[in-house]
Amino acid sequence: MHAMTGRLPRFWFGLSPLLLALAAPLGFWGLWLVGNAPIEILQGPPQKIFYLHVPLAWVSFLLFGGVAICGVIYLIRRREFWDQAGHGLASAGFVMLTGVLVTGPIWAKPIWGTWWVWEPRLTTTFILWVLYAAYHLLRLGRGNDGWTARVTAVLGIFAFADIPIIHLSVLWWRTLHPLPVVMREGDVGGGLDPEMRMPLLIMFLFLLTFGLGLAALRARLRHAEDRLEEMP
Amino acid sequence: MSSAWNALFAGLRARVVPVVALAVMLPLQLRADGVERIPATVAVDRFRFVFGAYGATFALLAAFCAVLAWRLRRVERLLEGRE
Repeated sequence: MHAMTGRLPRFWFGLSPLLLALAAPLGFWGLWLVGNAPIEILQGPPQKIFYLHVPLAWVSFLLFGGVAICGVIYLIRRREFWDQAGHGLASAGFVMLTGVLVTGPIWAKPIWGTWWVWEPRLTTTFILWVLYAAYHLLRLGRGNDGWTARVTAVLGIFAFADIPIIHLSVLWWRTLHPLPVVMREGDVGGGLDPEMRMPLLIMFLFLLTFGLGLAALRARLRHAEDRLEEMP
Repeated sequence: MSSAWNALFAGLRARVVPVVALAVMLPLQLRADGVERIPATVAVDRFRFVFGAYGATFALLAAFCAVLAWRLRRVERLLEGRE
């Protein structure tokens, strides 16, 4: 075991309550906007899952981007703070991605008639989930020593490479999953009704704030666990 | 640390009543085709997949947050005890 007592910056201790408190009103506002958003003409009510499913995916990808950046910095500088921050971001991202894999099938059932299909986007997303499950199992199994910090840093960078593949999978292989609606290239996808943009934006801000709050909380817990482990 | 958390928990407790009220009122507020107001019983049936997805996700996020907060409080108490 190597020493893991890198001190967290003072602001970190107030960061998680602040972000979570900020997320609460955004969540209420987002739910209110979703409730009042127009009903999509082809899919009907189940389309409202869009305002949760899509931002969950975006936020998990952003958090995993943070894991990859923390991994690179950790491998260069070897400061424990970056391992702790990466661990926090990976935990929050994993929960968000689990949310994607929960809401996706619930949306798929009434629209596609099935909970799950092994088509490219779903499969590549599931692979990302498995990679991060391995990330956490590694930490659970070995603790947070120097070897684990290095291996999970590399794993975090490697897993991030799956995200562009997930995004492009619907363009490379056309199957059941729809084309991008919001972040579309050229003329693909159907576009988004202006009335649907605001609920999507607020739900994204809510989940981003909540996800960062969870990441800060997990990093702080990890820091406390490391300190406890080093005490006689 | 504890004062910030206590303030957060107190704030959440103060919002329990509005949250319950919102959960009851939300189906009544859902619009169909932009103008139609639909009864709660019909809304619950038509929106069961929506409620399932939102309920499962919010339960997942709340459970993860609660477990982290509980573990942090436990570990910090152990640290205070040893110091």
